[in-house]
Amino acid sequence: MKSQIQTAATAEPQQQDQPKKPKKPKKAWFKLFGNSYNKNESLVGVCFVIPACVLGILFIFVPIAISLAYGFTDASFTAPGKAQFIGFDNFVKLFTEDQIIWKALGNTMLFVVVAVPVQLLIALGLALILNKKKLKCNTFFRWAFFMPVMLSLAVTSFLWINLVSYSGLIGTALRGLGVEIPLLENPNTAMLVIIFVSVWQGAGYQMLIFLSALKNIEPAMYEAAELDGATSVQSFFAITLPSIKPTFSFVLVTTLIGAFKLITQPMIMTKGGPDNSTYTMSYFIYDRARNGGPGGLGYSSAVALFYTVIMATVALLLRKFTSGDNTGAK
Amino acid sequence: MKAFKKVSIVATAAVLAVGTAFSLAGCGDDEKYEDTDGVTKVLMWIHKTEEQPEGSVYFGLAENFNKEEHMTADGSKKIEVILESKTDANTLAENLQIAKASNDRYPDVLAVDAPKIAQYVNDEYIGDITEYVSAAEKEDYKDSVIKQATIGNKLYALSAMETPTALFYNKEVVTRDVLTKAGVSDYATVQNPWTWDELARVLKVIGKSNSQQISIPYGFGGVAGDLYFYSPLVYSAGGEVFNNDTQKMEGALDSETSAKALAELQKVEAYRYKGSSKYALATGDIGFALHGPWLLNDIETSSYRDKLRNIAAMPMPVVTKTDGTKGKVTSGCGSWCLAMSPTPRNADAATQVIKYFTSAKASMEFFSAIGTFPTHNSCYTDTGMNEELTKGVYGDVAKLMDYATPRPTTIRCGNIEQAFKDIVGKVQTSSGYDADKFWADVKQVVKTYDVYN
Amino acid sequence: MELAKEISSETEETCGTAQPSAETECAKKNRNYGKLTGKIIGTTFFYLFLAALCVLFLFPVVWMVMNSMKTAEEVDASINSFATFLPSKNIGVWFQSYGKMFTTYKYVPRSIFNSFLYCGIVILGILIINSLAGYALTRFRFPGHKVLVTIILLLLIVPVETSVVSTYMILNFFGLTKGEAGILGYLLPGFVSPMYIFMFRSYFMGIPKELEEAASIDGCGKLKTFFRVIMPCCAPVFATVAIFAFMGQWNEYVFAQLMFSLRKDLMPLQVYLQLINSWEPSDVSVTMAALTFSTIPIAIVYIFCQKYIVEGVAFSGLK
Repeated sequence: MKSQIQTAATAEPQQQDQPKKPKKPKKAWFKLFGNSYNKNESLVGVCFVIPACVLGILFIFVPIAISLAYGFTDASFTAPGKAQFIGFDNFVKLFTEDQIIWKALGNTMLFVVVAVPVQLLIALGLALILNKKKLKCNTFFRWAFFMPVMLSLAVTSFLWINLVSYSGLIGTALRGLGVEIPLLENPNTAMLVIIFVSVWQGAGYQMLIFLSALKNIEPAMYEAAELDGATSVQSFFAITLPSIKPTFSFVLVTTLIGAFKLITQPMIMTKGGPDNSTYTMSYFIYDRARNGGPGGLGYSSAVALFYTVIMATVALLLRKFTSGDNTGAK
Repeated sequence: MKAFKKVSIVATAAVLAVGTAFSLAGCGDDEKYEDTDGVTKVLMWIHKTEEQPEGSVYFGLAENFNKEEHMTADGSKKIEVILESKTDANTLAENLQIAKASNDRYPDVLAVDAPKIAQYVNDEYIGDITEYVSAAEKEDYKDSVIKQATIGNKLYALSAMETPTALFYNKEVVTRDVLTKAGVSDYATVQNPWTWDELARVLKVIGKSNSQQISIPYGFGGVAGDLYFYSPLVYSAGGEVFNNDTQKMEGALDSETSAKALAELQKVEAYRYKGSSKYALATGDIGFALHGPWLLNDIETSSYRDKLRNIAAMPMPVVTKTDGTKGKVTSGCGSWCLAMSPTPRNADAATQVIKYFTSAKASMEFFSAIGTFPTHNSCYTDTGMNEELTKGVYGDVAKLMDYATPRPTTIRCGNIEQAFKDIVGKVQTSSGYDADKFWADVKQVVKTYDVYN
Repeated sequence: MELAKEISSETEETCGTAQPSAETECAKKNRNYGKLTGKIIGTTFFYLFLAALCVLFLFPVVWMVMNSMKTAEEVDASINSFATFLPSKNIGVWFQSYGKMFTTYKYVPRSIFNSFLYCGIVILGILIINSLAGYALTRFRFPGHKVLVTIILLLLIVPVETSVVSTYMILNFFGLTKGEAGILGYLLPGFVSPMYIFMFRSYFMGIPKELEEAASIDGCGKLKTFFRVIMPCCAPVFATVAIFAFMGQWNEYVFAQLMFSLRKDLMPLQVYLQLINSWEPSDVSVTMAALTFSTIPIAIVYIFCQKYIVEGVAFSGLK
């Protein structure tokens, strides 16, 4: 009986097969929007998700809805209560007058386009190296590469400022080599430094995920390929890559989203950078809210809404292209 | 299913019970803020912690205030101040926002940074204290302190800390010999200040062995620092930073006068110190440092304090105006103030607290702790303990306080600060002095930020 | 060893045959030794490369730790030389900064306890609430379950910088912001996270339904099935989520600073360390000591749980 209920998801509900009785016994099924659901199952299911839903609505959904709703007002950060509804004015300003936003968007895109692939490739490379059984001190290397991940972003930024600044260790070393560029003060190099630090900090995390995905591939497949005469390069492309494709796309999307939200490193290391070269969208949104004076919070929320739409589009497009053939990856 | 129902009911009840218990436990807190018989309580929020030097002064003052048993003007109640630290400026701002929007107890007295006064007045975070400050009391405060907190003839805050900016130099590096070689007649004084060209010449002479000879604190103090340090240049040339009528920077900051005044910074960019040691001036590694009074305090509290006698101060170089004449002597100013809530429990008590915490005595304590200069004229007379302020490098700086140029009081200060940050950023990425190109750059920056005004 | 065996077996073969071959035996041996040298050189370079990578990844951390084991003046003095990577010459100074940190700043032990406490509660909450939700979205069909999945995905994307104050206002409404209640208020928003629901869901989808069917035949209700059967079976993903939750919560400080600004005895470690850092005059070696100290617990947790992280992620059916 129970298995029938579980597997009969798409089957027609079983009608009572007895002749009409004076009292109709309770139906175990009900219909909603054209789908049929089992009452029992639905109740239990709903109960299971209720805690998460309640908390989610209260603490994730509502605050976000409130902040995004501000986008249609002229609220200022210090007096949000006095906000007046101004419709799409903020968005008009965003598209026609604001110039910094495009710089910020460009900076963020630069970061995303460079840092994400580099980080993922390095992570994949390290994972491949660590996957070899013959490697000595495997655990030590795994720990070493993961070390930067354990530091918080603030600590990492602080450390690297001290190292890369003009009188810091690396700065002095570079000067000794004749390179006179103050890395964090040159608009061309500042973003590169931030990319480097971010990749340095995050690669270990993705490496671990890739490593576990690699470990999941059956060695038998490689042996079979070897017997067929495939070189290691060929088996890499034919076996390894397709097997980790789902993992790769998951990691790609999450890293991408993290990259879009970059704010801590620029804030601590360069404060938006020489000539606004490390000014990212998240930082821009933060600044407009806190330093924007009257109407700042409203405008900042409008920008946030605009940015969310961009990020969502990119993320959804990516999912379509990378996991189109996977039904379970939702 | 039945067991499940039981469990879920019990669980929900448990959560509710725990939640209620917690919220009830929190309720008792508010009573300590309520007035009792014969005692009126003043709640005060500051942005420093007790362990910080500035914070410890506040807490010390609070303790003394309560011990001294001040009474309200009508003699009926004793005033007790409850001082709470809100860790830092951001947290303080957030807490104020929350207190205003909910029914939490809003502080009667709060700390506010000078540039933000206009915004706080506009958003009804602070109220008018004009009628509680007598003319005599107002007289004793430095002009800049009163000016920065006055909007439309109403006074909104008082300060115990003033922050004049000056060009500090090391006498052992910048000797008379050097001056002669540079073709400069004498050290700068307020009657006879240097121009940026003269400074550049001196830097060239002492820069023969090590080209980085002047420290200029770009980016100091977060976003607000650049406006604070470099707006005096604009005022020196007689320009303006902000047009109050149009509420935009256009026409003011991007005028030829103002823009080219800031371009003068390019003349010394080649000699700028790029290291990060706070004591480079004291040790003689560099010859000049443009800074505020914290520099002296830093040196005094470090192991280089005996080198302090080598340090002297001259006014910031004046700008050479577009018509070739010399601009006026100016100095930066403006620091954290204390203001009153727009709806205090007892305005008389609150303002008494403000006046106590910004009194001459309090001012001197802040001076000892963090080096900011006292805000009362009475501190600068030649009596006993205040002699320090009339002599040596402190005396040099004290003289500059009469030339202070407060920043504009506008709710749009945030945008001006960011524009200034970008403008001085352009100085740093420039190579050499090009006033016209700089003017074009400034116009561009102003246009970008006026969008938000 | 294996290489040598390989080579020697080859040479054995060639030397064993009586047939003349195009290559002389000598030439073959030379070629084999050449291969051997080539492999040794290759392996050496490979390990050197790995070592270089290690240095790159580790040296800032080493630098931080070493600087915490010197006095402030030594840090300044050695900053531009190789000595910056070595602890102080004077062994007595090694733990001086740590001692200073504990004695000057009274709440360090208390804040460590707080951090562990908060992490513990959050982990518990996360494990229960998110796994239940993830499980329900896998196994049960109820109205709106597809919509929920899409919403969860979208929620991963939205920037949350501006919602800290709104969250506080909501907590205030429930009276969860004062005093000890603030702890609950602080932790509550952290209990639900789209990311973890997602992870749980992916993992559960890889578990065969037979398990639950067996349990229900034995007479377990759905809830019991979950706790008695699913949880022990899916230990890897629970361990993984626990570890990620721990790492996330340990480093969190923006919200903590807002909630606990008045109560030093309730602050977690990160906030308290920020406080220490903001006090002037700053002693750089104490700062480094504080930073190192705040990383140690995570490092320890990671070392012991490495296995689980790798395993857990493996099966989380990111397929």
